Amino acid sequence: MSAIAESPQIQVRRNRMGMWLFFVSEAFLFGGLLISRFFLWGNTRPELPQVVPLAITGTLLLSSFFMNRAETAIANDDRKTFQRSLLITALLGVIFFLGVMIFEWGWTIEPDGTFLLGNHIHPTSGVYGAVLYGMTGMHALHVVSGVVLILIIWNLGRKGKYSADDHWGVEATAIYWHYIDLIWVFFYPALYLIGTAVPAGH
Amino acid sequence: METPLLVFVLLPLVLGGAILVGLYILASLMPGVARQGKAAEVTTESVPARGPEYVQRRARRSAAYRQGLLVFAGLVVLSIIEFVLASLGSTALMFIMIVFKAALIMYFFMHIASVWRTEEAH
Amino acid sequence: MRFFKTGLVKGILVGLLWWLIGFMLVEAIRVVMGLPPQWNTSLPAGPAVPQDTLKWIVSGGLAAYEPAMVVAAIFFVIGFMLGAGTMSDWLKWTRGVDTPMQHGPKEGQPSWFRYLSVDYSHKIIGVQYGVTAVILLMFAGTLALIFRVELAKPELQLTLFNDNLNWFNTLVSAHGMIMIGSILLGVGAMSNYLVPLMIGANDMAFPRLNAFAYWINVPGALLLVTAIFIGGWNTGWTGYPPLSAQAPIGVQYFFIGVFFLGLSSILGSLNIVVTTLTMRARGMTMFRMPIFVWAAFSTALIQLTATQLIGLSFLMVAMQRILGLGFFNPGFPDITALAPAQLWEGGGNPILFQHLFWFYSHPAVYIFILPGLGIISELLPVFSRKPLFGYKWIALSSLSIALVGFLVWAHHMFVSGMNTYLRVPFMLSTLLVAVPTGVKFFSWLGTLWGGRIELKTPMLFALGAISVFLIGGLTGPPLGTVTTDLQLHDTYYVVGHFHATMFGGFVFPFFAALYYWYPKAIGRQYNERLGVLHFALMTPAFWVMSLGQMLAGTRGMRRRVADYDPAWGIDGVQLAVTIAAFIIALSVAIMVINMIVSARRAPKAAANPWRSRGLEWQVPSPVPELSYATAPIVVGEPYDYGLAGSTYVQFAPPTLAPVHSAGVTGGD
Repeated sequence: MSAIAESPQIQVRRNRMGMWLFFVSEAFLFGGLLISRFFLWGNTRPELPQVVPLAITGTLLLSSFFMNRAETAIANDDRKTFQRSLLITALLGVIFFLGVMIFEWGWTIEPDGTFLLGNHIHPTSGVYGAVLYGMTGMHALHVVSGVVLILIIWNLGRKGKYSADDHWGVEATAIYWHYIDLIWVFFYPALYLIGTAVPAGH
Repeated sequence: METPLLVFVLLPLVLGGAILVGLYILASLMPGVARQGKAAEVTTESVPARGPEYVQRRARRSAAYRQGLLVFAGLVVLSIIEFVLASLGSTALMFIMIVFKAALIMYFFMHIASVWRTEEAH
Repeated sequence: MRFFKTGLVKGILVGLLWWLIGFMLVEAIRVVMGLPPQWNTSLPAGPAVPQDTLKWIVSGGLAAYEPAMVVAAIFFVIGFMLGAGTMSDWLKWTRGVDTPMQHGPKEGQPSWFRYLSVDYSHKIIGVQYGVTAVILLMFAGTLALIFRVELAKPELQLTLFNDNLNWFNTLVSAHGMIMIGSILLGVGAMSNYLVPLMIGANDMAFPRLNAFAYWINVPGALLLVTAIFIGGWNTGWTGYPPLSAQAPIGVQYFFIGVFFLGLSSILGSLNIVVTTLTMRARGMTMFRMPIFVWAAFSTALIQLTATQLIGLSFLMVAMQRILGLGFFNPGFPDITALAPAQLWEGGGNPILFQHLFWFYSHPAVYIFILPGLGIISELLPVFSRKPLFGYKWIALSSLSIALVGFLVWAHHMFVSGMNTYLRVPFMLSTLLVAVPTGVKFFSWLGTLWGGRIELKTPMLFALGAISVFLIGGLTGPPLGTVTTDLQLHDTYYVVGHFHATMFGGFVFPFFAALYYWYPKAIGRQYNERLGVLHFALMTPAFWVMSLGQMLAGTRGMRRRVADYDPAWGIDGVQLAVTIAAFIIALSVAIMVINMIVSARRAPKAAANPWRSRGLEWQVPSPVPELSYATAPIVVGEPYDYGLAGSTYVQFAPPTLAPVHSAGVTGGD
């Protein structure tokens, strides 16, 4: 029944509104995590090395730049830059994810083949471990989904799906990716900058 | 409580998801699936590479790129200030930097204004 | 054999397959990593005698494999959604295949097939929601009857509970949570079916998302029901840690089930908000919308935001159980087993859970009642033949109840041990809710005053709802006031209070809505006499039940306890409550029979049997596949009943496809 179908402009406007409502909803999820952090940690934080968080924060920021570049490119019919920027974004996203996994969570493979977790802080180390792993884990889950979306639109773009007039898929993925970056803008200082550092084993 | 369990629950989910996506992409690369054209066949320019319209488009495009770069530079500077402020122990000022960063991302990267725009699609 | 091709059956089969895959995956990883397949080695890995397997499962033996069970449950939901076909369009989009919107029945399938499969029409989805809600309502009600029998007399009677009192707690918890699931589905039924029809839209803004949001309820509800049979959970529907951190394995399935019901709420409400804001008919400004749309819109705003918090709080307990993240664990027992570099002290706080939980679960009460109150306001003008008294006030009171509802959560926690200085502010904000609710009551009275009242079944239920909601509302302030709440907390007084608010705010209006829109949805008129009988049985029985519960509570009867002291002198009251519960169950059975039989045998319904001014009554009954073939234009106020010469809606002549009627502001 085609009478229900609206013009693409109207549908895109609805999609955009729906996407932002989804962000509002997600903000309550991440806000709940932030509240948990302040409720449980108060004005303290675990003493952790500062280099890795700073590096992965920069990575995510850079990936956000490339995502914006990709969206600008497709809006201006520059396909080559679009495809390249998308791949770079996905790569930086994966680097961010692995940075959290390997350096921050400290997953290492021992010579005997077993995994070892937590060279800085252990997930079961009281509330410090719980909140750190809970917040980075929830964020990392979103990063993984964002990378998946980017790879999907990269593949569709490779097939010539998007154009300057019709690229809602790209826009949705882009604002989702920026949203992930936005969450990290709040999570990073909450986890690593605010409060008095409590050394391990005090 | 067995701690390596993080591996058992999160890793399967993450890896499983990644494998699924990989399979999907592989499947879509396989012959037989409808393909609108290879990357090489896609024209990179829809406007002839000459004439005033082309020049105008190029100018608009590079202006858009430049804006992205500027916003990114602003975010980097704000992040550095944020980090320095945090080392100095000034949480309130740091929070203002965070708000600025969030505002930059929401306004320029996420085009929040477009939610209220009604007339056109992009 | 068509039955096995429906989305429901395919979903369950594929879901079970995925469940097995998820279970095996975790176990395989454990084995590969050189760990024992059992997670909790202190529990038996299996029954000693193979014949006891069922007994072992029902008594919660699978707790020995808890991580595998959790992953399997998540896999079950994913498998169900894939198998039912809710995501097939989206998966095609990821491959670049466009799928045009298909409406109407599938080729070569009977009409019932649509109701058991994925269908994108909001009218089908609304009916699916409604039927699922009634099924869950009856299931959860049956659970209540079982433990009401136990409570009819002091001491323990049922052998079920004599063996293991955990069963009593499981039944109480399951009754609570499945009822809440049923109410959420009922709210979904009303908003999905009515909102697009009432605003003159042909479908929701995102039909595929709408179908997804309905179908994810099904595996969620299945997991909730499964939780009863794999050991149950003894925490009550609230699932407070530290008890829920030690409860039987069923609590995990309860968490996951609720998590997906919540996901459905979020996605469904997102759809409602976008639909209401962008798809109204021409000329329908916000203050010309039917009052139910205001209620559904306000509800959707709460559902969209607050629901994340219950998901988060349950997720955190689940993580604490299987991964050892000590959010709610004040001291960590394993601390000596860790290396010195990992020594941070425990410090978890169970009160955090209550804050997060009630931040959803109190607004959730308004999710349950707001659509119902909207239904009452919708029906009263129709059956009193008078304009709705104070339209704007009542529209804004819905919105303000929704907003104030966010500020009152800690009144559930007066005795939890939170900071005492928080008590008075939360008491004040709680009592503030009475103001917009009072606005509604006065509007209802003003609407009824001097009207020519027709006592049809929907109107009877609306009036019953007012009486019951009044009981619920007036018994609320003693619970919101700190001094009295310290005495009444966790007694049957609370049980009586919230049953009155739930029945007055949801169950009665929901039944009223079922009867009122039944001719529009089915195209046949239900049996009026049976409808009146339903009302006549249910309303007095409910008064007895609710007031009896409150009486028992003031005598000292506590919630979630299977036994009580005969010296309290509440035997007679408890027996009366049990009998009343059975009468309510009987009356609901009468309604279900009435609806099923009328759908086949009853006479065809007229297009507008209630002489309503609403948009949806101006099209034939049942609503055609394309609800509004000609675009409706709103030219007047919605509730001007009895005013001469006033019109609410006109239909544009079909020749003028894009309407250019002068003087009408665009509602888009």
